[in-house]
Amino acid sequence: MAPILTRSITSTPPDQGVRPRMNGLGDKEQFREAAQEHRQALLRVAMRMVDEGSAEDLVQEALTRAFRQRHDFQEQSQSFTWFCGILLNLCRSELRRRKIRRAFGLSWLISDSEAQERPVVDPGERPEQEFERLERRRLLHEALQKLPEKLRSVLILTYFEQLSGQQAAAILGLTEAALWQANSRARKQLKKHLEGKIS
Amino acid sequence: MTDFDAFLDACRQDDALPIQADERLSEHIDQLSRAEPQTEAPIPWTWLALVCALLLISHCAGPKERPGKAPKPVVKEVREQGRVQKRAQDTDSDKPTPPLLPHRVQR
Repeated sequence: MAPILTRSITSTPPDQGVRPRMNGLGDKEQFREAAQEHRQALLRVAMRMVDEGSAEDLVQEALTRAFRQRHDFQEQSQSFTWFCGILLNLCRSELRRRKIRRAFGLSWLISDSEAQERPVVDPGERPEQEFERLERRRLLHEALQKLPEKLRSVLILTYFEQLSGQQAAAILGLTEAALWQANSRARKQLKKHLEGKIS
Repeated sequence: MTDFDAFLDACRQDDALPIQADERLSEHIDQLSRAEPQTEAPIPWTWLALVCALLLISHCAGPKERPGKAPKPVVKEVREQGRVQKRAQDTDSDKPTPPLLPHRVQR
């Protein structure tokens, strides 16, 4: 297995760092701090799970639900794991709804948000760099959408969000062994879908 | 490092860039923590009280009686009345007694 997808990933996206253990989210201010801290990561998860257009709505809904249920937050768990669990449930529901609409030929009911772009901002980027980045993003999104939902979520959490096996397994309701097995399968399938498209 | 690994690595590096929707989300979080939404589901006591009140009212009102109209007798009473009437008719009727049977007359 290539070192980049193994458990011992060392580099972390800049906004994450080591996710702190929260003492509770019952307090509004504590909740606000935790939500502000994880909002980008949650957006990325939703963007990769569903699409970029719906990501914002899904994260907003997840945070609203989390806020209402913040008193149920278990102190021994991590806030990101908790937020992520709620968000992934919402993403699954959204994907199910879309599947049903497509099955009944009602795809026109799905909003145009799927095609909508949520560009990332980098003022210092050269046009060719921006083009490359957008192309990379499109290819990855297409390849991820071809993966089964479970494999996609495994890859997003373990590779892109760099959660520990224990955390990802807890969110997805899997054993750690099953998680890494799924991670390996996801990686193989993603590679297959990207073959010939990346150089 | 293979092309695939390099591609994924670059994708992950892109994650460092801020997302535009992020600002709106940040505002949403601030709004959430400012205005407390309804944290609990509507209390079932309201419904329970309403149902109890309805039950109490229907119990106190009792069966409806219309003025000027006698209540309908119960089926059992009607049957009993019918039987009594028939018995009375049988005993007091003007019907002739049936003639004695011929072999009894001979004796």
